[in-house]
Amino acid sequence: MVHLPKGGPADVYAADPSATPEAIERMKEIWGLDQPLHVQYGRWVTRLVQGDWGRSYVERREAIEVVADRIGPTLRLTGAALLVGLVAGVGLGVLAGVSRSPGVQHAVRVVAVLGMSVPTFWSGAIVLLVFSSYLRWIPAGGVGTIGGDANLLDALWHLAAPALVLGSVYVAQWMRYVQAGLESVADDDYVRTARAKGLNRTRALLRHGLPNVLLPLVTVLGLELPRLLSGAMVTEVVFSWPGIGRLLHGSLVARDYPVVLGTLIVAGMAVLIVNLITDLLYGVLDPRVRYA
Amino acid sequence: MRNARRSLARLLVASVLTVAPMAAAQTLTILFPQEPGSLFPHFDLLSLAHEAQDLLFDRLFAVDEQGAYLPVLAAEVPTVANGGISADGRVYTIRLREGPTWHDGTPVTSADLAFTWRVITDPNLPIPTRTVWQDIVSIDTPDARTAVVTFGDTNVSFLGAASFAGAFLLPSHLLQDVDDLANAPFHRAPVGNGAFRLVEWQAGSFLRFERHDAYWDGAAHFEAVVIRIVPGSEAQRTVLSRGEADLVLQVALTELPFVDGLDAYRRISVPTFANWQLWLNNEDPVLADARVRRALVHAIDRETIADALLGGLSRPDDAILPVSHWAHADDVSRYPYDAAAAERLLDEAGWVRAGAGRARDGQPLVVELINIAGQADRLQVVQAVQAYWRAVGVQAEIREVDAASFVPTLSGGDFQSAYGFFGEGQEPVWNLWLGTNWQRYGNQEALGLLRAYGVTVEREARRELAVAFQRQVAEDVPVIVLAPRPLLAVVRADLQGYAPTTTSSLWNVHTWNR
Repeated sequence: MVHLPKGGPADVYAADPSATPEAIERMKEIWGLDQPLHVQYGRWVTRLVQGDWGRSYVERREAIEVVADRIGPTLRLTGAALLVGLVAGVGLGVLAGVSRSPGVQHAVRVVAVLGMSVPTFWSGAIVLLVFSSYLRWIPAGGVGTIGGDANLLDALWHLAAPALVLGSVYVAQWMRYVQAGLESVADDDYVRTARAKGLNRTRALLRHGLPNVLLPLVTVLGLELPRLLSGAMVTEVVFSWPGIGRLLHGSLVARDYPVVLGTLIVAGMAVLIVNLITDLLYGVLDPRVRYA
Repeated sequence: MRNARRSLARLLVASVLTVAPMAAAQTLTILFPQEPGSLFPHFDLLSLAHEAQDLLFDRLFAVDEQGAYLPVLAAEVPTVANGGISADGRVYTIRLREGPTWHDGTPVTSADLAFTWRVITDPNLPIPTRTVWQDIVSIDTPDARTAVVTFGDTNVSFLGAASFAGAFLLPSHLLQDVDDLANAPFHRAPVGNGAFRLVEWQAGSFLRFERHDAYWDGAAHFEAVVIRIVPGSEAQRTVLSRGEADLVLQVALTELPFVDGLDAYRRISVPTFANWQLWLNNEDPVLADARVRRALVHAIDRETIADALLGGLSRPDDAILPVSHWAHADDVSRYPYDAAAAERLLDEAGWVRAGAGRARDGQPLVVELINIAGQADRLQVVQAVQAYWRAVGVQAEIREVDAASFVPTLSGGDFQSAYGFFGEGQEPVWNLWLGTNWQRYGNQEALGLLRAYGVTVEREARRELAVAFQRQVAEDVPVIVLAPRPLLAVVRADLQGYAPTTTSSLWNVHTWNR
C-alpha cells in the first residue's frame, strides 16, 4: 500500500532540482528500491524473521531503534488517556445512571455531546491557548522541561493536558455506555432482589448492576485501541509529543518504508496484546467465562 | 533474534522511564518545525539539516550579508590575483587556517578536504547531489595546510559550492576506515569542527549542543544551543507567546500576523536568491505556445499576491535571478498585470472565448496546477492564481500532491504547471536549466549561454552571459516568477548578532549574545 503513491524515499531525500534524475536512480539502486515490489517485500520478510527490521532511510539507523524511541512516550500518553477516559467516563456514567435529577441528566448529556463532537485538534489548540499561553498553568508541549531536572512531577505536568484532551473523547463515549447499561439493568431481577433485601436503588445498582455493566466495557476497551492510537497522532502533533503517531505520519510523508512497516507491526502487536488482556480480564471479571 | 528482542526490551524500558534532564544556563533555543534525519553532511538536502549542521561544522568559506566570500576554514579566499586560482580557472589552491580542530582535538587538515571530496563522489553512497565536486579530477595535499584542487575543465563554481550550506568538511581520521558510511553512527552522533558539539539527541523532541571551548574563532557566548522540534503551528504560537524560544526558522507566512503582535519578538526578512515560481511544462501541447505562457503571466496580479499572500516581503520581478543577486538582469521583458493583454494573446493563439472559458478546435483550455498539499499559505497562492486564470477564460484545476510525489511528477513531465520555489547559489550552477530542467526549456541558444558561463573565468563576462540568459528566459517565459522568496525568521528582540545571509542563518552563531 505504501508503495502505491508516486514517489519514494529517494525522491523525498533529494527533493531539489540540484539532484539529477540519474542521482535519484542511483540512490534507488543502492537502497534496492529498483527491484520489483515482490522482491523488495521478500527481502524485508526474510530479514524480519531474523530480527532485522531494516534501516530508516531518514534517520540512518535501525528501524527498530527508531520505533522503540517513540514507544515510551506513546505508552505514557495513551495509557494516561485511557485512565482519564475510564475514571471520568465510568464516574460520570454512574452519576448519570443512578441519579434521577434532571439537572444531572442534562449536564451529563452536554458533556457527552461535547466530548464526542469536538475534534482533538481543536480542543488541543484551545487548551494550549487558554491554559498555556494565557494562564501559564501547563507547558507548551513536549514530554519534559528542557533544561530542568527529570522528575515524575515534571513528567506528569507535561502529560496532563494531552492526556485529558485525548481521553476526553472516551469520557463521553464510555460514560454513555455505563449510563445506558445501568439504566438497562435497573429493573433486572437481581437488582430488584437486592432492593427487596433492603438496599436502596443507588447501592443496589453500584454493588450488583455495575459489575455487569462493566463487562462489555472491557471488550470495547480492546476494540478502541486502534482508534486511540490514531487519535494520538493528532494530539501528538498539537502537543509536540514525540510518539508513534507523529513518527508514522512523518514516515509516511518521507516514504520511510522500514519505519512505516515497523510502526504498523508495533501497532498490530499492541492491538493483539490488548485483545489478549481483554480476553483474560473477561475471564477474571465474569465467572461464567472462567468456568466455561 | 534473541539479541534483537533484548535490545528492543531495553529500549522500551529506557524509553518509558526516561524524561530528559538538561542544564539550562545561557542556552540559545531554536525552534525547528521539522526534525533533521541525519547530521552527516552531504547526505541530506533538507535545509533545516544544513542549519543544524552549521552549529557543528565549518565550511571553507562563507558568504556575508553583502554576498562577498569570507574565509572560514580557509586562510584566505583564493583569487586569480593572489594566485589561489589558476589563470585558466582549472586549479584552486586552498590554504587552510592554522588553529581549527575537530571536537576531539585533532587538527583540521587538507587531508580532510580530500577525504570529503572522495566521500561526495563515491558512487556507492546515496549522496543526492555531487554538483561541482564531481568535476574535480584530483586533490593533492602537499602539506597539512594546503590542498590543490584540480578540475578537468575551467570551473567557476567551486567557491560557491564550498560556501554552500551543507558543504562541510568531514573528519578523515574518524571516517576513513568506516566500511558503511551510509549507515554509520556518525549520522546521529557527528563529530564536527564548528562552534558547538552535539551532546544529546532525543528523537522527536530536541537536539542539544554544548559550546566547543577550543573553537578557533573564540568560544561562543552561549554555553549551549537547543533545537526544539515543534511541528504544530498551535504549539509554536504557544512557545512564542511564552517567550521560550530565541529564534524560529522557516516561519509559515500565515503566522506573520500573529508574530507581528508579539512585543518580545521581531521578524527578520533577508533576501535570498530563490523565487516563488510556477513551472510551466514547455512540451505540453497547450503551453508549448509562448503566447499562452505570456498570457498566463499577464493574467496574474503578482503585486497583489506578493502583498496579500506572500507577506509583502518582496516585489515581483520577471528576471529569474532576484534583484539581490550580483548577476541580476534589470532590463528584461516585463509582464505587468494586464487581463486585456492576456485575453488578446490567448485570442492570437487561437484560444477563443467559449462561455466562461476558452476553446480551440472544440478543445477547452484547461491548465492543471500542481501544488504540494498540507501548507495553507501555498494553497492560498495557487487558489489566487486559479482565480486570475479563470478570469481570462483559462480553466485552471488544482491538483494537490504530497511532497514525495512532487519531484517525480515534475521530473517525469506528468504536469502542466506547478507551484514551488527554487534558488540558485551565490555562483549559479544552473542545475534547473542544464540538469533537471523540469520546465523542459528547449531554447538551445539560451542554454548555450549557460554552458559558456560555466567556463568563463572573468566575473564581469559571466555576469553578461547570465544577464543575456535572463533576458531570453523573460522573453520565452518557461517559468513564471511570482516573487523572490526571502529567508524569514522570528527572533527575540534582545538577541544580538543574528545576521542571516543568503546561504545560512547560523553561520556566525558563536558571536550571538543576549
